[in-house]
Amino acid sequence: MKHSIFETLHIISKGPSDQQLYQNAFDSMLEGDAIVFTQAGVYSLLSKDFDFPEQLIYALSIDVDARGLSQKVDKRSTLISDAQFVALCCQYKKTISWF
Amino acid sequence: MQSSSLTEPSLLATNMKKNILLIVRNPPFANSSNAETLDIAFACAAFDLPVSLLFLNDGILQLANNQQSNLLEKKDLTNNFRALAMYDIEDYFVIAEDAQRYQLTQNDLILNCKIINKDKMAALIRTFDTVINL
Amino acid sequence: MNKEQAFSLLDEEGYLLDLTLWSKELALALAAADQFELSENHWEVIDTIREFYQEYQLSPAMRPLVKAMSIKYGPDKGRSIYLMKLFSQSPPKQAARYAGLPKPLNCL
Repeated sequence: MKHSIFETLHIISKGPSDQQLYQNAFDSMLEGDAIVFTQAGVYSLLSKDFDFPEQLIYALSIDVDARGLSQKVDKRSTLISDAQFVALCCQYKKTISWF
Repeated sequence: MQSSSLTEPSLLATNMKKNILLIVRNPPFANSSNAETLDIAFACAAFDLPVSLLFLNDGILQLANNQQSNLLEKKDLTNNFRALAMYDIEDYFVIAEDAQRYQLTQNDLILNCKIINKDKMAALIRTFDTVINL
Repeated sequence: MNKEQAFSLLDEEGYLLDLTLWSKELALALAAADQFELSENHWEVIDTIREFYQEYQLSPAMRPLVKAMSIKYGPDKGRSIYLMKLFSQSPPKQAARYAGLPKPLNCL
């Protein structure tokens, strides 16, 4: 694990073309935060426009698979099941949803 | 309570109620999310939960004065937002860069907001136990 | 105004459907139907709650009603215990009903 403290889990469910939302989300992050991409958010893992931040990156595997991205997603991200998603939400102090 | 006990983290955790940050990101008349954020704020006030509001990005436009919602036959949330102070909710933040982008100064806003720079936003957010972002 | 006339203007929860149809006579008829007598002190609350609605476009819950009463009539009347004694039900709800305003939300 990169950080010992689990601060804020940012859940991003919009695709990377929603640039303002991504800017707002990244402006809200500090060390100890992590990102979970859900729904169209998982397209970030394809986009060349997407600068990988410092934070740990997770993506919901059901949303990745449903969009046919399983072989294509950036290897720096960790694919997680629904149950692992729930566990992460509990592990971190708080969650912020970006949608 | 002795003042020294306030520094004890475990006491802080049990004695203080969770503070809540509501983030408003939408301009007026966009959808129902700003009205829903207000509902949450009023509901929190009924339970004495400390609430603050951050008007982020286009959210600052909700605070612009001289709105005339009647022209659109829509409900004027401006009056409702001004009611927050009557519910003892008086902690409001806007981002300096958003204010500059839309050429808004404190005099143009219906609430007396603290203006913070964008690079202070993450630290502000971290001070809250719960964040609701509609 | 008799009870039937007054009740024909209300929704199923007893709140006035068309806010422009409010009158003192309506308030008196609604109170009479509750077998509740409106004193000067009650009218102060009804006036305050109507002014609150004018200003903020919503019916106040307890805390803002107390605050509005305190601003207008001072700290003795700006207390929840004062309002609780004055009304037989939840003060914000009962006063909003007589004042012809929508049911207050988030009212415990």
